[in-house]
Amino acid sequence: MTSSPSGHETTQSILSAQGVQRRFGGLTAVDVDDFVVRGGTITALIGPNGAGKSTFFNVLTGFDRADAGAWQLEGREVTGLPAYRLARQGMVRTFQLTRSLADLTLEENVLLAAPGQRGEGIGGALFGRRSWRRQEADNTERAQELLARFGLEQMAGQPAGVLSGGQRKLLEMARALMSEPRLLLLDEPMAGVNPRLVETLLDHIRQVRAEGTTILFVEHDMDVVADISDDVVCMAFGKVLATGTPAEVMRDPEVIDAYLGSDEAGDDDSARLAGKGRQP
Amino acid sequence: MDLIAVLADAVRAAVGPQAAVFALAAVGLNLQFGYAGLMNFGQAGFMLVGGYGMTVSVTRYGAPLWLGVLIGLLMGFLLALLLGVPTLRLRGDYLAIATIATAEILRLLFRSEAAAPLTYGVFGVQQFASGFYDLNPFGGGSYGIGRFSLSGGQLWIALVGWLLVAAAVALTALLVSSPWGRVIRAIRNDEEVVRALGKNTYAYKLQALVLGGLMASVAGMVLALASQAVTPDTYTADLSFYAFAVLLLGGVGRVLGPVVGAVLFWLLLAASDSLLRQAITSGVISDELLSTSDVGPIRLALVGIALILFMYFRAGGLLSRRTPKAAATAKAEVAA
Repeated sequence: MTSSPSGHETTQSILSAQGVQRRFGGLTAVDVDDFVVRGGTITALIGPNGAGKSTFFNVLTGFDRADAGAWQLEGREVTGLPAYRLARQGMVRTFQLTRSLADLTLEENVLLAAPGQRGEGIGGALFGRRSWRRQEADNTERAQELLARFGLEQMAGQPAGVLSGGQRKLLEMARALMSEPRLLLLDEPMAGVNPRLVETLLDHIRQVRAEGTTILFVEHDMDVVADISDDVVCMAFGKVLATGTPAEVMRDPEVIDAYLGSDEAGDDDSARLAGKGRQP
Repeated sequence: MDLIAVLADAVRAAVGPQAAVFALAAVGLNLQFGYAGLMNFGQAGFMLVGGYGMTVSVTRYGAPLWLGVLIGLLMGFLLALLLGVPTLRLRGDYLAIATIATAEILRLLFRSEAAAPLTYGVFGVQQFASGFYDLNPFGGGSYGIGRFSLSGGQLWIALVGWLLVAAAVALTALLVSSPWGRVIRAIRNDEEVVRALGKNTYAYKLQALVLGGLMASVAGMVLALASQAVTPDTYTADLSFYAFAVLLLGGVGRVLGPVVGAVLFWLLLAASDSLLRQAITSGVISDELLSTSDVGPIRLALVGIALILFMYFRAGGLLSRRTPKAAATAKAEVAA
C-alpha cells in the first residue's frame, strides 16, 4: 500500500518519480508508485534491510536500470539516463562503502569532481593547455576551501589511500560538493562511522542544506533520521509505506510493523520507533 | 672470454631498433594498463595489424610508404574499436580474455592458406622496405667506435624508432599530466566513482585503448621495417607478454618506465645470450652441461628471474616511486 506525499505542496519538488519498478527474475525489488523530494529539504529514505532502498537509489542515479517508471529532476525528464549524465544534470551520489580514489591525492580527488573542466577532453588536454590551466587554478582554490571545510587541508597532497574510514567519508562529501550538485544523494552516510563523527557529518549535511542544496539520504538509524530530516519516506518490500514528517512516519502503525517484523532491525530500533525517546 | 664483445652485444641490443619496438609497444600498454587499468593482453595483435597493414598495402597494392603507414594506423584504430566497443562496458577481465583471443585469432588467420593471397601465408614477405631505406641519410658505412658500431641502415631505423618512442613518450607525458590523465587514473582506481562524478568512463577507456593500440601498431611497423620482414609467427602471445615484462621492469604508470624497461630487457637478454655463448665456446661451461642451442630459452628464463626479483624487491618497476620501505615509512608517518 502506498500513501500519497503528504501536504507539503508549498515547495516545488526537485525530484519526482512515478511507477518505478525493478524486478530480479520473479522478485519485484522496487515498486514505487509515487516518490517526491521537495527542493531545499533533507529527505530520508528509511526502511528495514532488504526493503529495496538501495536498489531504488541505484535506479534513480543510473547505476541500475528500471523495468518501468519515469522520474524527473527539476521538471526535466531524466528517466533512464546514464549515471554520468544524471551527475552532470546536478544529481550527484555517494556510496555506502566509501570509495576514495586511493592513488590520487586528496586534492586530485576533489579536483576530479569540478564540472566543465575543458582539459578533460583529449583535444582540450593537448591543445588548450593555457585554458585548462587557468580553470585548474580556480578549481584548486575551491578544492582547498572544501578540504579546509572538512578539516582535511593538512593532507591535501597525500594519496587518499592513507585516510581513515571516517576521513574518507568526509573526503567523499567534499568531492561530491565540488561538483556543485543541486541534489546530493548520500547512501548510508553514517554507516560504520563513530558517534563523534556522526555529529560532524550531520553538521556538514545541515550546512549543505543551508547553502541551498537538497539532500536525499538512505539510512536506517532512526535517531539520525528524526534529528535531521525534514521529510521521511519509509520503504518496505519494495514499496513506499509512508511519507511525511519524521514524527508522522514513526507513528505510522505500518512502519512500526515493518520494523518489528524484520529480522534485521534490533529491539533497539523497535523500541525507539514505539516512541521511547530519540536520544541514545 | 671476450667481455668487451659481451658488452658490445648488450649495448647494441639496448639501443637498437628492437628495443625501440618494445619501448613503443610498452608505452602504449602503459597508457592502457598503467594509467587506465585496462588489461590488454593483445598488444601483439595491434603490432600485427600495423605491420601487415603497412606491408601488404605496399607490396600487394603498390601503395607509397606513407600511405602504407596510414593504413597500418587505420587497422590499429579499427582493431581497438572492435575490441573496445563490446567489452569496455563489461568488467575488466573480459577485455583481457577478448584481447588475447583476438590477437591469436588474427595470427592464425594471417598465416592460414586461405588468406595467403593477401597475407603471404606462413612465410610472410621479406625485403619490401627499400622505400624506407632509400630515405636513409647515413649511407652504407659503419657508425660508432670499433665493435660498438651499427651499419648505416641499422642506425637509420634505430633513429626513426627512437624518435617515434620520444614522440609517444611526449604525448603520454602531456596527456597524463592533464585533467584527462587525472580522469583515467581515477578510472583505474574506481570506475563507478568517476561515473558518479559525471564522466563518461566508457569513452575514456575507449580513448586509452585506441591511443595505446595505435602506438603498438606503429611498433609493429617499425619491427617490420627493421627486420625487412613480416611473418605471422612473429606476433605470438609471447610478444604481448614481453610488452608487459618491459613495462613491469621499467615502471608501471611512470612516463619513462617503458623506455627504461625496454633498454633493461634487451640489455639483460643480449648480455646473457652473449655471455653464455662465449662461456660455452671457450669451455668455461662444458658442452655436456649446456650447448649453444640451449642459450635462447635460458636467457628468457633469466629475464623471468629478473622480473620475479623486481616483483619482490621493487614491485612497481625500476622507476617506481614506491619501494616497500618508502610505503612503510609513509604509513608510519600517517599513523604518527
